[in-house]
Amino acid sequence: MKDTSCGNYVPTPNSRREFLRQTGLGMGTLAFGTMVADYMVTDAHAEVMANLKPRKAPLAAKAKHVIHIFAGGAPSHLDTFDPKPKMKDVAEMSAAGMNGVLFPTPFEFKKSGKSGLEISEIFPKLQGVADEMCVIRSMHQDLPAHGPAAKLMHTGSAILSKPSLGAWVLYGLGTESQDLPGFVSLGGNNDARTSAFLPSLYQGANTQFRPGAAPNKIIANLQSEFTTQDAQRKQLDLVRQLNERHMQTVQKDEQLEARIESFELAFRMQTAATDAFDISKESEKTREMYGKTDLGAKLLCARRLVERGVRFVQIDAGGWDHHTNLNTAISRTAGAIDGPAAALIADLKQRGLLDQTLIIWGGEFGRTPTTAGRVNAASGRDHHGKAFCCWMAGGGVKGGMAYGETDEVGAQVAADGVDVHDLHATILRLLGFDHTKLTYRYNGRDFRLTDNFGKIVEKVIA
Amino acid sequence: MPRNRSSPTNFFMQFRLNAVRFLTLTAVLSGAAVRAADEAKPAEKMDPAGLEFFEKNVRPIFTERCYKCHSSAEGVSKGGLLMDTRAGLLSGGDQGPAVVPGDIKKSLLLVAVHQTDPELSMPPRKEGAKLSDKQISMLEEWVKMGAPAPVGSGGAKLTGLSQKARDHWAFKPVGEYPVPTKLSLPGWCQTEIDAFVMSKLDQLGLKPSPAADGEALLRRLNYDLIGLPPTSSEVESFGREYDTAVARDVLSLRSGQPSRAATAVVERAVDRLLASPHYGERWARHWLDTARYSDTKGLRRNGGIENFESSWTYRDYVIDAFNTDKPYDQFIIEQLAADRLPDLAKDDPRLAALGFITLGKRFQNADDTIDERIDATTKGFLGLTVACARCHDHKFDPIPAADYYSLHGIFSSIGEPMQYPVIRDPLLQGKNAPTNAYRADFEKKHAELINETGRGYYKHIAGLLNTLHKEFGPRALVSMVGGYRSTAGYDILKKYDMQENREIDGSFMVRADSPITGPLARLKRVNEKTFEKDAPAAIAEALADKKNPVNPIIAEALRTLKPRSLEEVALAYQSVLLKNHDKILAHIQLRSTPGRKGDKDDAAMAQLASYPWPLPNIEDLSTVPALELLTEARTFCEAWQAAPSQTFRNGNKPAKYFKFKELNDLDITHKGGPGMAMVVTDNEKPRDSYVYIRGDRNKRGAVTPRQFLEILAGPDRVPFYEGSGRRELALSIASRTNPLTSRVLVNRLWLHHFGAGIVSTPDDLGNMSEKPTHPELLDWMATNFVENGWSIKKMHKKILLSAAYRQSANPNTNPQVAQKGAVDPFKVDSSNKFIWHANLRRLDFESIRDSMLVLSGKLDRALGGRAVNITDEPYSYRRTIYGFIDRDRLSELQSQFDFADPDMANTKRSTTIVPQQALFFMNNPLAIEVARNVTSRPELQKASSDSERISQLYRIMYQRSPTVPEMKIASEFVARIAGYIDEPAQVASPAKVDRIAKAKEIKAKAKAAGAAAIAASGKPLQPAAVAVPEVKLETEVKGGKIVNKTEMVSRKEPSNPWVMLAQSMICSNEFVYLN
Repeated sequence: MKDTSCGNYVPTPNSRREFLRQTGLGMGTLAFGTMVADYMVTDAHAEVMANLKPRKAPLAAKAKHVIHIFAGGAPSHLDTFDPKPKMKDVAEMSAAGMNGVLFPTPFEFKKSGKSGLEISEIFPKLQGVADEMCVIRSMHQDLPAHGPAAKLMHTGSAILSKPSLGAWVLYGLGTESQDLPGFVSLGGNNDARTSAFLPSLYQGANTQFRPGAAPNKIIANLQSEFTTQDAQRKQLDLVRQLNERHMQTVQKDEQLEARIESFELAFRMQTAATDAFDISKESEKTREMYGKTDLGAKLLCARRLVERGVRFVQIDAGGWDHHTNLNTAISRTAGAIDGPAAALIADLKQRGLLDQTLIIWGGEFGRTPTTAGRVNAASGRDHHGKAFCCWMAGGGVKGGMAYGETDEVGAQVAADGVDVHDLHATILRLLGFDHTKLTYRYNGRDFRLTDNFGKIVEKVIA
Repeated sequence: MPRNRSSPTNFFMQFRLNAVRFLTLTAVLSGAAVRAADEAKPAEKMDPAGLEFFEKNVRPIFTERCYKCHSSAEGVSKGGLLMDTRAGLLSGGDQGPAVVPGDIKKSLLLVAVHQTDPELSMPPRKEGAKLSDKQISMLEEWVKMGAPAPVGSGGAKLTGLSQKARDHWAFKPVGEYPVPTKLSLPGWCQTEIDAFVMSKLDQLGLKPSPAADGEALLRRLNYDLIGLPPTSSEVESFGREYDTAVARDVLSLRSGQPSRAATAVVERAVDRLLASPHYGERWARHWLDTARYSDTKGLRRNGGIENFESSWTYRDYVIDAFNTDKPYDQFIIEQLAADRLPDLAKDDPRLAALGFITLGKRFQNADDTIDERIDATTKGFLGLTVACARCHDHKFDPIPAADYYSLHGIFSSIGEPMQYPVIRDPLLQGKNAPTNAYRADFEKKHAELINETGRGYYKHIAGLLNTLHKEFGPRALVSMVGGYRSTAGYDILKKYDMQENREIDGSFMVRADSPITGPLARLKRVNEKTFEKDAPAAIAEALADKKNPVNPIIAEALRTLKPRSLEEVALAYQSVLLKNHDKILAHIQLRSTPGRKGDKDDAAMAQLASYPWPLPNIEDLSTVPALELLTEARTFCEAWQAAPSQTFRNGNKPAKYFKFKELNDLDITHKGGPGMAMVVTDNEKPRDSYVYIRGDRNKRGAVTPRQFLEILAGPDRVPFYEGSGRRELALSIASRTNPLTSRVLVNRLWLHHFGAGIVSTPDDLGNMSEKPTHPELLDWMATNFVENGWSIKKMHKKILLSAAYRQSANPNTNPQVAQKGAVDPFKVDSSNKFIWHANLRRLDFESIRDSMLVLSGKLDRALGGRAVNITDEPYSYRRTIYGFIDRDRLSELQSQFDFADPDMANTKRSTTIVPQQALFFMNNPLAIEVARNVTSRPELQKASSDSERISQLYRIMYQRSPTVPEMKIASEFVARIAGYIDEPAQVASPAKVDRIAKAKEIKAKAKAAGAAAIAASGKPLQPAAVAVPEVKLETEVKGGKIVNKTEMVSRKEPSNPWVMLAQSMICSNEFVYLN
């Protein structure tokens, strides 16, 4: 058993005094002017400051940014990335049972790219970037109910209030962006961006991003409705003067200085965030490539954010709960993400950012290989946790491969099972962390994203 | 039988929790299931030859194939099994001993390696091949030999129950420590506390810092006690008195006299503040952080009504408890067992205290809800993380899993009544009580909704019956052949051209004991091939059954029937129903009409109409619980339950009849509604719980009695016997001899006054906590607190009258820092653990927002009542504690300002600094509105010059006068910014033309406003409209959110220079830091 106070990676173990000495009055090195004092006291590290300064991961890794496209509603694995060519034959022989009849996918799969990775025809554009994609076909979990399962995918816990994946990443790596939040959520619920017991500076910034929305309205309070930026600049100069006088009457304190700096950063953020969210600044060609749709805009925005140093972008791309009319409905849902996702991969690659940006696509569980009654146009699939899939691209994963296997009807994992904790462990490893060592002490225990579980899927790492 | 509202709902039964993996927060530390009991056993002597055999032949197999998952070295003990020592093998894992020496059959290890039992096969198949036959026979031989192996200590790495863990200071009785007397500066000490603090400082060679000035001190006292700033006149008069007293004390000290003058001044201020009703609001908020208060259940995603009907009465109870200085032991007992108090009135306000138990997060799984309550109770009152012991003995503290299940028994022996009792809210009495007009309005609206729901029920049933009657035959058949998912069922649906309907399921209403479907159920059992021959006899038999009499109308139709198949029977049923359809509807009409009792109608028809859903008279549907009962899942026939019971909650179709959501909205918003206490009651038959092995309720261990924790109760522990045992639990916690309760509380008081606790983790005093900085002081305070009748107010005074509290927050004033002597306090105690100066503290969210409101002159000082929206426009001017708290969707503003996570006890808040906070001060309309209100306060209106206006602003905002340079800076700003706004536009980089246009528009307005402001120099500004507190309904629920019925902040006026100056002061550090 691991001693819970030793050997763990705790970011920036600077004591208050050290911090004070290092930064002095300048504060120039403090990224995003964000910090917290006294949040954590352990035997090992007297008092530790939390901040968003960029920091090097303890292990060698390529990925520096993450774009998590959450396919909420639970996409069918059988119609997307897990081909079951023999199912048609079995289906004819299978007897109907209480759980309905086998429902072979109505879609063709195509061996794509040089790798020959098999991808369903509902993703024609992703077929074109198959060699960048790493599909995991052997995902599994135990809770095929949307709420708890999505919470599990986002936080590693189906029930309890735990920090989201993005919050852990931000805690571990800080952020390179000087004037944007390090973790941005483009839609999605609270579970997807919560910092839970981690200090709130690690939570995902909630946005109201949608195509056509005024860029200065995407983050709450981003710009003033009551004065101009120029006047506000003068106002902040005054605030700084007031604060400097105040500091003379009390001690010089890093908290006070950080707060002064936070106003400057907020002021810069007004412009920087407005600019980052303004996809109209992209060329017509680029916007066409991503598609002028909600998801096209969000993925393009994600690229703009990552380009500007944002650490983690969370995107909600749901609508996969196809209990009925699977044939038409899943084609529509897939069609909405196909172009944008393919464009994102190609665009990042062309900009040389794909290597350092990990893209993750996947939902909370999979769908049954069977359908109620008979197979017809109205057939759908029900919730199924025992087998599902996801894919990753960039960020140091092997492209053009499929990992893991399900049985011949895709009902159970047949080999190399990967559960949600395993996926989280792998994501953290791709970012340079041993998931067992990225811990946070809270209420007498060291917590980690993978709780007490998680096995790194080494084979998907390039 | 009382219905229990906390029973787990059926809605999500399609999945089962894998209990081992998704349980409690602090649980599931690997390999912790094995108790260290084997430590004590005398070591058996091992034959050296046997040991050699083990090392040579067995150990390699273990090393290669087993240790990865079952060894302390790897830190993994899957299934609770550790194999690297003999003790571990003998005690085994969850399923029992892995090895029984000499017995091959009983040794699970051998069963597992043979891989004949699919549930128990090792090594796991995915890990590679089964052990070779040779390896297996080697293991068998070894077991036969008596399983010689090094003895070791099994799972002894588990330290929780060790003597060391038991010897932890916090479990020892509170010590009796004399107040230190040999001190370097005895004259500095004002209360006993100072002697303890000074004694530590002396040990470290440190000196205290001089007292803070009067301004800073009063501000500190005000925020610490009432969470609001003092007025400038209070500061002035306090400052005068205090400074004089300090000077007098210095003289006294020199002449060797007692120096108590300043303390007397402080005492008067403290007494005044403790008497303020705002004190309760301030301190209730601290307790609510500990009590994980929220107004919602946290179940949103699973449907259902999310809001607690009456959480606010608990909040009001807590405010009142602090204001009346309820003795803390009483406070504990009421929160755990108010329902069992003697002399309890039916509408006793103390019943609201039970909200402590009920307003935690709710889970689908009852055990999770119980766990949450155990966690809140033990962290909240005892500073212990007992919930860690849900799956295994606590890893660090002496809390065996059995103790957890002792508490589990208590909390699983309680329920909530369908109808919470109406109580007298202590804060809403007298002038604060809702008016009769409000009450009448509420009653009217409430009755309307009840009525509509009642009537809707009949409409809904009539609608369902309409479908049922038309389709009864095929639906019955579908259900009898295996449900709609079966091929046969599907064929029937197709044949009768029925829409595939997932609400029809297998068990649909065909029951043998039903007067309606009884005969059908019997006929289902008749052989298909001989149906025609055997059916009449079966029918006759059914009709003759005296135990289950058949409905006469059905009997009539069946008596002469000669069916050739089950299908014909079903269709015969259908035709009976169709023939009687109008009569059935007429009966429903009768039932739904007030005054026309349906039970006087034809009994046979009444019975037919009540199939399959109950059909009471509308008079019986006058309360929410009655309606809820009727529409509750289980009272609707299993198969059809999804439609009415699930969908009404989600707002789908049938919801238009069922107004539960609207009733709930009314409850949480209407001032005229009754305040209800969210009570619990003991079950009639309280039950002890089983220990769940590794937290898995399917793996039961021994039954454990309901009783207190062993480490605190001692060896003479006796099981609880009064009802659930809650009252006895409360008494055990609130006991004078409990070593934790008083320490935990005084430590929290200290934390909130000094910014750091004597123990740094206020909700965990166990082995994982840091050592107390002042253990003797902690114990002295704990003792003193209990001796003073558990009075929190008296303990505040002890702390606040101390010289330690009164010190300056500027460490540079400390004599050793100022004189740069031999001792550098920064080196000795950099983080000020030993309190050689006061701490600079940032105000919490509540204090920041409340200060903004009070300075704007708009704070609504009313106490208590239903929650309002304090984060969104249109804004409320109520204190922040009255804000609605949604644990599932905590508002961004709250989380950006470090609001405590309401899912568990979080007594200590962090103080992060993020730019989003700055954006709030800079751009949020509330900041503007407050700045506007400040500038229109009479003090500014009456001012005759800019400098007087600036002085007034300083007095309002900072409760002090500006210094000369500050005056200069401010007046320059006002002059410059007006001129600046006048300057031509410098467009930053707006992406869109309309933004440029808007910027221009704002500038134009600002120019006008600036000009007006300049013109107004020397003259009073426009007086603000005086806000008359208007009695009206304040909130409503819109889009699932509480919305205030007030005005939006006007966007028409751009900020003028004075507003911008006031706003700058809100943005400043001086505004949000206490020194």
